[in-house]
Amino acid sequence: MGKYALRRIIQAIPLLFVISVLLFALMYSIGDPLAIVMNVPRRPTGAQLEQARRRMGLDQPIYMQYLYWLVGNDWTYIDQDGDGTLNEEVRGTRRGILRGDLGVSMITRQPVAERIGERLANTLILMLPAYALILIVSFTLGIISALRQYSFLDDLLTTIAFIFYSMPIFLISLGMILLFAVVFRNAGLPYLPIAGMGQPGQSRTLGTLLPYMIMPILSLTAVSAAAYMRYVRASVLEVINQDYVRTARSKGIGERRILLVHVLRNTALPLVTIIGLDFPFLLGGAIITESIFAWPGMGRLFLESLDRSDYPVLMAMLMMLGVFIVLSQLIIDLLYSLLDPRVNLS
Amino acid sequence: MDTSLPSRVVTIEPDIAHESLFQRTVKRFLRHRMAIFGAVMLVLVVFYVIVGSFLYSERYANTTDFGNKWAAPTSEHLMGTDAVGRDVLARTIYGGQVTLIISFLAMAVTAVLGLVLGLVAGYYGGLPDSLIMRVTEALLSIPLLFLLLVLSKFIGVNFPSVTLFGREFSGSVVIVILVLGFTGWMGLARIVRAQVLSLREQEFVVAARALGARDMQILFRHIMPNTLAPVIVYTTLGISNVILLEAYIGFLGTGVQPPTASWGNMIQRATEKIDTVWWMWFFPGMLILITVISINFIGDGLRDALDPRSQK
Repeated sequence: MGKYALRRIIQAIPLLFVISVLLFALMYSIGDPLAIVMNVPRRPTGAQLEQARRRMGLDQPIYMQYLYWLVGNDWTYIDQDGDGTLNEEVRGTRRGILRGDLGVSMITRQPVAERIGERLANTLILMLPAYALILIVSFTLGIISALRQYSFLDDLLTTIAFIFYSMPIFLISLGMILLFAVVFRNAGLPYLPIAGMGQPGQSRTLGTLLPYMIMPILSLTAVSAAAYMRYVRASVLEVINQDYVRTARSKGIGERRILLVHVLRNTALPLVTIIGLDFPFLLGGAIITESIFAWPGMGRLFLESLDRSDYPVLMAMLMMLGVFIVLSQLIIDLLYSLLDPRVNLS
Repeated sequence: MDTSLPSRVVTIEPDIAHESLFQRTVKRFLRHRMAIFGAVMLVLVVFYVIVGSFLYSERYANTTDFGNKWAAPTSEHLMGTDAVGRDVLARTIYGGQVTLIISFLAMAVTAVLGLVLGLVAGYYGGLPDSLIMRVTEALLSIPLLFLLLVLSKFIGVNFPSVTLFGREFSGSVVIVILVLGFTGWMGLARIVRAQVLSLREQEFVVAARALGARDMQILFRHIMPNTLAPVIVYTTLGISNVILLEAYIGFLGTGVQPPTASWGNMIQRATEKIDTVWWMWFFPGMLILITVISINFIGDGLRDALDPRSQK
């Protein structure tokens, strides 16, 4: 067990390295982060721009830029005026991602960690309740559907799940806005706000935040719960046809106990794995949902940064997600072997 | 964990032994009611985008009319007009053609990539295997929509326009096809690799090798046909996924560039007048939904028909 965990951690390191190289190679060519300053009123001169470029290390070849990103550049000097001589040289200040320095946003000059931190909090406010609701809805409906297989209720639930599962998320989001914000308002009913996290200047409490959360959470739930419900139904059906369930029934064990002890325990494990593996992806926020409802979370931060080629933010975000994803795979594998005695890791 | 799938070798019962795998699959598929329903709906959608193009010209679909923008459905514009006064109905027709072409071609790219990389990784093992699998894992550790957006910006929007089927398409169509094709193959490569790992040691492969067959012959004549069943199911269900992803990147403005319409980019500006202009997102959105549902039904039907373990 300990050996297995160690081996997996050692394997994760080259994987993260490959991810970072792939991402960096992509980021390097998505655009010039300094292009944006050419549009400001006090346009910098060519010489100033050149100097900024060198200060940011953008004049260096890609492998040097990667190295600076990885381990920083405080061990070397920056030739600010670019004449190749030692005068006017400044020591680098970056410490690199391996030493915990995610860099500075090219747009706001804010530390990347700070910028991501704010947005991550907003995303979690949305995602954690959504995730909880997704689990509750998909398990409840999936189990009901499986236990009443081929009944009218089962047909209805599976059809609805099939439709939501096939639906682009903006269709349900925009439909909900039309109903809960527009039609309700026109009918004089209490209606929901369309965008953002609250009125500007208003202090934010759960009470003021809640109306803004309802529609994004319901959209996310409808689409994701539909996919999970199909999984839950299929795996419950697989388990209730197993020999040990028939044996339990023939021994006279009550249906309730069979369901809770024999069926649910055996379906929950693989499902928790599948759903658990999706969890780190939630930290990335929901790009579409966040942009429809103007929710200032990770997804929107990503879009804004991509738009302006703010690659320190993009790199940090994607690497953070990569680390979470790789780690959670490891943790889930280990947990699984602890919880299910049939799984043998060696 | 052992991830190899059970082998696809089928023991055919004597009374149906005269049927080929293909015949049996067709028969089973035809018995799948929902799959037939899906196929019929898909044919109707294709019919809509083809026949529609005889009623409205593409030039009409791309003609802007700023005096009549954001107009609600009337008898003249049955589905209303969009943010620059273009007819939504005509655009759903041409947008549908673009979306369908994109999704089928992108899936073809994915199928080729996934199949070849999976075959190579599974058959040769060793260094090619670990290289391919590391890249697969790395790409799977980046959320798909993020990867798509970065990649479409990477490839860039300045791509010369292309002529295909006698029509001129914005170069962004090619980019979207490539981007979607390059980001969908990882799951398929894994499935194919797992299949090859189990097939590689089967008697018929060992026999072929003993008879002196070369690697390429073994790979493409003996192993590949046996991996096709899951590939067909994966690519079918993948098409519906690609349609959704195309819609998402089109919605975000990084997909197909106007004036060329796609179901995705038609919705892009719908959020500007979210409280009044429902027709701009409703019609393309419903078409996407209908198409994705029908392809998912077909995919489910194919999976049941091709699965030797299901006894229907």
